[in-house]
Amino acid sequence: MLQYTIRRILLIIPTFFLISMLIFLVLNLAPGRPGAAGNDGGEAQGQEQQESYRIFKEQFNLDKPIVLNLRHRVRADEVRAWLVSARGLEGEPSAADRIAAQDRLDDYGEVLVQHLIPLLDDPDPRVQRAAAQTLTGAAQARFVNDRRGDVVAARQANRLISNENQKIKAWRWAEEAPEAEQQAAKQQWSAWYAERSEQFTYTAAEAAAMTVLDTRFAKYWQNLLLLDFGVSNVDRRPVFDTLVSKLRYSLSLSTLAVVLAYLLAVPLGIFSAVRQGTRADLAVTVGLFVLYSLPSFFVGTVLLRVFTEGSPWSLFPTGDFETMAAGPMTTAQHVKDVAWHLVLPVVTYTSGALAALSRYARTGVIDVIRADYIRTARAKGLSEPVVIIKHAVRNGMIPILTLLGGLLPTLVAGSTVIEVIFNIPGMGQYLFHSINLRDYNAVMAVLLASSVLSLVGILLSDLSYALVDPRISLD
Amino acid sequence: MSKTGQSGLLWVSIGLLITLNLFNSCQLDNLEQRAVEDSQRLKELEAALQRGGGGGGPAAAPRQNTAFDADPNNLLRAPTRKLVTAGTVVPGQTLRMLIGQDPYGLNPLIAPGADIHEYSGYFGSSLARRDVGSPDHYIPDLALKVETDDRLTFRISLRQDAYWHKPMVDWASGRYAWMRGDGPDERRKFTADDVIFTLEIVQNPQVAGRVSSIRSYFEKLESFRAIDENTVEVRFKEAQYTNLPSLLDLTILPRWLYQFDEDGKPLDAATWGLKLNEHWYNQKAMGTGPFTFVAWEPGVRLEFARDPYYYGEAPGYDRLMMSVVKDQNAMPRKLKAKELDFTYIQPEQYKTEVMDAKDGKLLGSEHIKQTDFDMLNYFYIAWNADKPQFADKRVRRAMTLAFNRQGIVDKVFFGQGKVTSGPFGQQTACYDQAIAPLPFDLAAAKALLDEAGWRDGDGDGVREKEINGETVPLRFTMLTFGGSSEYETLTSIYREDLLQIGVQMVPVPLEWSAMLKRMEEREFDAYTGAWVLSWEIDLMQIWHSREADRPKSSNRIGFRNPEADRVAEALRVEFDEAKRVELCHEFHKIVHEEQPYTFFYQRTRTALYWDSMNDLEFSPIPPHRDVRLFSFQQEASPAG
Repeated sequence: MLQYTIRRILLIIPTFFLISMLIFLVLNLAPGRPGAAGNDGGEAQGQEQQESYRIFKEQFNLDKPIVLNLRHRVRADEVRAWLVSARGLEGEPSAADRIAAQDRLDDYGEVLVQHLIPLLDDPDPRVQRAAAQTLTGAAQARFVNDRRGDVVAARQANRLISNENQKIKAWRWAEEAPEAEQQAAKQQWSAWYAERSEQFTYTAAEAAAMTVLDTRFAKYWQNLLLLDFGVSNVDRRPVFDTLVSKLRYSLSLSTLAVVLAYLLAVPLGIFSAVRQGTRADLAVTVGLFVLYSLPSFFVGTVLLRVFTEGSPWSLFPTGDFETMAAGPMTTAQHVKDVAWHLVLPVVTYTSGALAALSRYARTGVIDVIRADYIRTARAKGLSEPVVIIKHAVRNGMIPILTLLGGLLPTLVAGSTVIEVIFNIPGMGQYLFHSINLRDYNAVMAVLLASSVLSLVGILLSDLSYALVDPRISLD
Repeated sequence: MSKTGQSGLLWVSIGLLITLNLFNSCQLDNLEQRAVEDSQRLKELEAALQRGGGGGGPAAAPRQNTAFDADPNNLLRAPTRKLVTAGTVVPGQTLRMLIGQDPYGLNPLIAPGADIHEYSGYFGSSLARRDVGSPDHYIPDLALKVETDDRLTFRISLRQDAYWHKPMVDWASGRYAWMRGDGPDERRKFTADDVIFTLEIVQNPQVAGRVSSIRSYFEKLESFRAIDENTVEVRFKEAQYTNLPSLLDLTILPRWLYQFDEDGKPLDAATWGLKLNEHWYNQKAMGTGPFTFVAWEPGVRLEFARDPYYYGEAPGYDRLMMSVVKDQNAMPRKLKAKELDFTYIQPEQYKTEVMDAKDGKLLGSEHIKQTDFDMLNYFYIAWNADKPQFADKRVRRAMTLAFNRQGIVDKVFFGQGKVTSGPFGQQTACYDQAIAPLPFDLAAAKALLDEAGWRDGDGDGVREKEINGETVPLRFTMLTFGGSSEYETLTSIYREDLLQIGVQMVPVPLEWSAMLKRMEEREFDAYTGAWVLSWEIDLMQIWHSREADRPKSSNRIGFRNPEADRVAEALRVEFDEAKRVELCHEFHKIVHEEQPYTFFYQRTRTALYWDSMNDLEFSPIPPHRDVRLFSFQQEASPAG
């Protein structure tokens, strides 16, 4: 058993890695970008704003390629072609090409430096000017993280970096600037580069390391290993803190719903199993299937319409987790208030889950009811209720108990649809809105949390089989 | 002891324990109840004290340089009206309203998105505000006087009785003692240095978010300095009309808060801009406005309270409670259930709840009233002038003639809008009322297409024309807002009408970010769009030809017209209001002639409210909803 558990836990690690890679890829390859959601650079204009958007991208590693970084292989003639295309210097490049070229110039950053320096002496003065302008961005050093480790040293370093970057920014010239000014800027650059050329050319080892490590995915994992889920690029709060604050909403709703579902489903299942094939069984089956086929957004809306609007009833609030404008309440009042708000969402949640659960319960009981030991129990002269409850149900419930493990992720991740309809600010609603806003870090965190819980849940339910049912052994 | 005896004892003890527990809980609950009531009473007492002006209240504030200066050189005017016209201020009253989503933070210069623009007007102040009664003019807010000789250098005199709100922190912990000021209620005083700090934020490219979209208006900012604690001088490189409004509209932020970390240590000089993006106070709000921040629970509520120390006109109620409700369908339901005082409704709900209301009872109650107002925006269809089909203005005119605008506004949007003919708000002087929108006239559209040389030669029902030796059919795709049933209906109506005049349109519904990408890359023939206008008109961004060739610009349609360029440039440096209106009218005429867009409609919005509120007023200035204008009737509460 122990050996089995260890083996399974070890297996979880690569599985989790693959899951995270998959989610990461799908998320990052989906059309749209974080900036487009009314965020920075949605309609970036002018030098200043472009600069601002570049800093934003750097901060969230959005300027990096997703999993493989082959940028060190960029050639000088490609860089020149991008400059020409981004500035529209030759021919009439389409807007899409111009945007793509400019994005590349922004994103490639420091790998461009070694190719841009020679372009300062390009025969075309417009290319020279564009190269200098691009260099003022590309050559800027990045700030080091001063949140972890030696904060004082990091701040010291950042101050130096900032001074250096400020200096670099000035080394460009306006159109039709006097020759002397252009020459001065070029000399600044060549002197600057002579000192640092090593830093901007890459050895084979450096290039290899860059290919794998200087990517969005690698950076994400570096942070993840330190249990840092990152900052939301929408509200700039640590994603983890937000998740924790959402937990109480989702947990209360789904725990209540799951408990209620079990409380209803198990007796219903037993009832159908005992009355197997009778009209009562048929009625329960049909009823459950009707409930099962009604999607939760429909059930939720109908309940809201009937029970909240005063036509005919206005028994429950129209959503939310608790009363908003209420003054201070005692604990008992608060519990009552929350319970009042949760009645409709819990009913909606349960109505969907009921059918499947009670089917499992029914099948479980039917399976054992024909077993020899049940016949023996009856033969012993035990009364029918005792036979069913003590012998049949106990054994028949094994599959349905182990299902609980699989519910672990749902408990935490909540239900997007129900949370949106009933305006409960839990995990599901958060996921939904984060996807709309392309808040990568938030979506990653929610999905990763629920996949870890799924993996753990599956493991737990496998282990619980062995614990509950002596016939199963995992060794 | 026998087995039954043992288990009997067990059950008895369990029963006893449960009873004891129940008893305890009841007692605890009673105690808690009393504690809650006490704290409630204490709060009421405090509020009453503050209202009375006793104990270091507003009356104790210094009184120098706090009044409006009627100097003729002052660019600010005296307000033409009071905000709460009904004159009723109901103590203890709460205004309960909905917001469709959380703000992305509460720092007015950092948080992206449009919502914060509205909220910052409640908790924050700018140098001046537009006068609600006469929006072309600014009235004093933090600035009392603005003077200039050349429209390049502005001297701004600040008021001396403004204090920053008390931060919402855990004072008991001792960690935040450094935030205490020496003003009334331990507040910090607002000074010229805060204005300087705000301008430093604007100039620091490390600061991202909303400020990055404001930045382009400060391109011409040359320098700024504090002359003394109450005077600021700001200098621009070029005199442009937009300089002053941009400066006056800026929400001012305090240096003593935003340039320090949570322990009161100054942020590093090299990276303070980056740090500000994630500043610990960005989830709370700080300002000098009429409402002070109480709480923000993401996904749940945003709450403000009337600031008793506010220097300006007091709002008509004490608390402002905005609950976050992301489902638009819930709006009328929540109003009906008396969970709200007022709400906007969507066109579809306007149909079911207002047009189809039984015996004129809105939402089934005679106590619910309705008000409509015009928004400052317009919807349009854009034609890509770089595509061969739409290079000819006769084709674009024909497209407009074939678009049944009035019919669609009436049938699809249930009359919640006004058909429009130009790029200005119809409620503003800039809109030339003499220019009527083109009518819906398929015959005239056909004639125009014939005239332009588009004919159906091969009899396939679609017109074509030979352009540069190539036969181009009059067929195009139109990007539309996906997920909007209204847009689905209107595109299918338009498609049918176009087919009748031999034009084939293929709608392409897209999600916004995908649509934006296609528009930026100019990968479209036509698209449906909307612009939200600001009160000051600047035509350069959308209409000037220098923007037409720049990728990602707002002139996505490639509109190039020398006359329009001239007007747009002239408007930028024209300061005389009458002449500005003339220029606008001239521009209106040009775009009506050219039809670069098919101007569609300007939206009307409907709000429903309980009659316990005084008649609801909306500001002509976007975002229109201004809770400072709302008030309640005395002694009436919708909950009662």
